[in-house]
Amino acid sequence: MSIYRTSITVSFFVFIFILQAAVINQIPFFIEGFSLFLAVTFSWIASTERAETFATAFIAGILLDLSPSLDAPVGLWTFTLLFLSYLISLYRESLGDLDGRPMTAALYLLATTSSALLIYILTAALLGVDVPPALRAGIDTAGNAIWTLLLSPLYFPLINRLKLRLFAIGKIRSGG
Amino acid sequence: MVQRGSGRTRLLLVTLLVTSLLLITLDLRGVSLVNSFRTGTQAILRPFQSMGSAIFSPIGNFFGDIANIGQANEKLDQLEADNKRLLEELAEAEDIKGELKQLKDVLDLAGRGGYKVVSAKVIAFDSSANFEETLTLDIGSSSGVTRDMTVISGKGVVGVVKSVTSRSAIVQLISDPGFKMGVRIAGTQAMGILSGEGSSTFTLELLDARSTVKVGDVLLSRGSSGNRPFPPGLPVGVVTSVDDSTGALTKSATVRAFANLGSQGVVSVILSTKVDDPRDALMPKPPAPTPVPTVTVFITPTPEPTKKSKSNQENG
Repeated sequence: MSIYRTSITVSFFVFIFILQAAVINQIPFFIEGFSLFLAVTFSWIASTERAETFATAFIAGILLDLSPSLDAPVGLWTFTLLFLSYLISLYRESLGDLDGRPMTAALYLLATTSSALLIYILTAALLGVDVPPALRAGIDTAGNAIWTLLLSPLYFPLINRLKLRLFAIGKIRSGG
Repeated sequence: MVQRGSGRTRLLLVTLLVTSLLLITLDLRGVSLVNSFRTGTQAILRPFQSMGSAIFSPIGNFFGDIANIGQANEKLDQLEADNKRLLEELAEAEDIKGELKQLKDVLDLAGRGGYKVVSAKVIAFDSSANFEETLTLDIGSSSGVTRDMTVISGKGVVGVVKSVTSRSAIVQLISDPGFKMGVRIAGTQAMGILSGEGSSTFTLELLDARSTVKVGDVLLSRGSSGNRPFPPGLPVGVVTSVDDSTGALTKSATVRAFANLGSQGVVSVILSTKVDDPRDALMPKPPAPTPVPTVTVFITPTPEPTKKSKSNQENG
């Protein structure tokens, strides 16, 4: 991963992190909340090569770990996203190109974001962090899954196009 | 189809995984450098959250109105009657009035308890994706706020300060699953532990199995050593149902908080307490009975017919 691509990825995820904290968290969703950050992370990862997938998951995980309201230890989100990115990279060829298949993309995002939340809360519980009761965690995860699914036609193509454009500028600059 | 990576990619993955595990270990061992990153993030996020709160509150209110569609319809009928300028003025006035009422209530409670408080505006709520129940205040250590200070609304305990930067503070709400506090029942003085459950209700477990608890019992904070984090006697909630399981070792009950945790615009942080335990003096007053209107009946006597009118009736 080149310096240009790394800096673009870091800047983009910092922007989404601030957007989540300053805007998305202010909106009272009817059914629990929506983690735009997670949805964007897995949208970005969906069309990234293997090594870049891990680096992206690491960057996104570190940012999530820096959320000031978190009680869980720093590094837990990084670990969770790295683990999931490894699983995604294993089955990347089976997934194929998601850009022209909105239903598959929506289901992919639903599965990955929900798995991330569940793996996170399970790992947190194993580390002795206070976690909500199972029913509450289930409702939170289901609420997030619904919004991820419903809004995926809006953000998934947008992220893909934005990423292509940003990285294309990098190629032109470096003469690649 | 399972894809296998090259040795270099695998090395990268292992390195990143080890780094994340190292971070977890350092954090669990209490290395302050790791924790200070979060405090730094909060300091960076604060201006964005304040700006977001100012810009997107109307959008949030809009979604809130959709959630309460019945109330929104009534409001809509009212709004259609006024012109645009008056509407804007009215909305602004209502907002200020709501905050003023919350501020008045909380200062009233603080005054009765003899607490020195500093008031704050809520600038952000937690992200439910993190399974945390917190809110962010627009004041911090520069206003005298430190960790473990109690946060109250006009109706009672809201939470406790979890972390502080110079100009912001994160409050762990009493509804947070990790929140626990000692309480006593007003009147009987039976003591128990109140636990947050991530929702609007809480669980009370009495310490003494012989103590009694009934629906409608008011819970007050039991108080902590040196009044930190909790001064004694603060209203916490009311018992809504009692679990009478015969096999249970202790009695438990479901409790509803006095403070409306989801709609706090203004709260106060208790900086210090002046008086000792106020006992039950801070208990919320029961609602005043609605006065029954006295019905007054006026009776006007019908005038008796005179002799002249009688003779007229006979002739007619």
